[in-house]
Amino acid sequence: MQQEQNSVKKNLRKELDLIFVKNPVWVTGLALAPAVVGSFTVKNGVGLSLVFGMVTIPVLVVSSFLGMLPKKVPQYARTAICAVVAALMLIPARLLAGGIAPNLFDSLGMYFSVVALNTVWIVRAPLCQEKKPQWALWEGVCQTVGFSICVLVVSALREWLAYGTFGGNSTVLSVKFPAVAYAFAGFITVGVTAAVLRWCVDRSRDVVASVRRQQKKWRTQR
Amino acid sequence: MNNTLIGIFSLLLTALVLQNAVFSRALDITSLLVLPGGRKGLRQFGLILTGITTAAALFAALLNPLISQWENVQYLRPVVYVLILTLLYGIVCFLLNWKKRDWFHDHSMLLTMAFFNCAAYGAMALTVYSGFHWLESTVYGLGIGLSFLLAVFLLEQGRRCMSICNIPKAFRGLPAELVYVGLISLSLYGLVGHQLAA
Repeated sequence: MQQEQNSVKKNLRKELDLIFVKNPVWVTGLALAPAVVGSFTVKNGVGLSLVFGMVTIPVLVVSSFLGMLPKKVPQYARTAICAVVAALMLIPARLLAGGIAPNLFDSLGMYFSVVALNTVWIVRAPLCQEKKPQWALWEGVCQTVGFSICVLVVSALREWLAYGTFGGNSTVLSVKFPAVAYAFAGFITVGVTAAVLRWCVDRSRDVVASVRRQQKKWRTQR
Repeated sequence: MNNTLIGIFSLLLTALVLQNAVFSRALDITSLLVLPGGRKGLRQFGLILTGITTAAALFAALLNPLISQWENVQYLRPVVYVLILTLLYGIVCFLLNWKKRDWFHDHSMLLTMAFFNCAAYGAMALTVYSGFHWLESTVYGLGIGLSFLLAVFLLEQGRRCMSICNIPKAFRGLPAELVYVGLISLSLYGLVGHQLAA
């Protein structure tokens, strides 16, 4: 019983790493296209996160169920089923996005639909076939949170730099570099924020290691 | 005839350089930066992708008159495009699994990444939004695929230069490559002559 609880805790922690330590965009480099081009306002960032969640979570859960099929069913047929589910999920996502912000679809253009073919589910779906549905669901949620954090940070930064606003409201420090809304600035912003995240993760690891060393030292002194 | 040829050549050149799928639209940037298999693998992927974008653009152009007549077409168009890609993927995988099983087993992930990516979808969406006829669509799809191969070549040069530079630890790998791609993208924007608001 204790062993089972420990294994559950370990799995939970492992999946939680997907939020920062193994962030799908900043660290793994997956789903870069919408994060680079589509995220130039906070509203777009929220829209992208919404579509990402609505596509990725069901696809990973479905792929977990597909893992229960007999081995005779080839992998390409399972991937094709996942692609169909992803495509169908675009319809409710579009309806929901239309309810939240009517011009969100026009603002994101092609990148709204491109999220349906994000590399996160393409890479992770075959691995989720070996997982239980609840773990596939948890992974989907963690991937979505990781993607959303990245997209929201990048979009907030770019909106502030490009238009001097945050979520459409003007800010105290009003700077305006409209070029930041272009794709090249998206590449640079995602690259720089990825480097900042890596630096923070490395520093936090160093701090944790030094704290552990100190604790060990105190124990031996006692 | 000459005008058609010149038009098609300029369209190919536009898709290849000025509207490069990777640098101006970030289509398939993930495959370019994170796909394993080294230089050879990326080139092979680029060739497969070129075939897929060409075929996808042609299919989109041929099916567009039919799809345009549907009600609520704005909701259904992306779904239909993904379904077309899925159908093509299923047929190609079935044939390869049947005829060239060994090759298919070695390259199945590469094929999946090549079919289900932004470039293949982008080839379909962009040709339809631009109102191209079937020949223009095919050439534009070919241009999108070739633009990926051009990006592979430029990234190889960049990686070679970065390998001999002393890059800060936090920037090594993906962050430096993203900044590099961003700078090439900026140079292409300069070439096109985008005017920035004053």
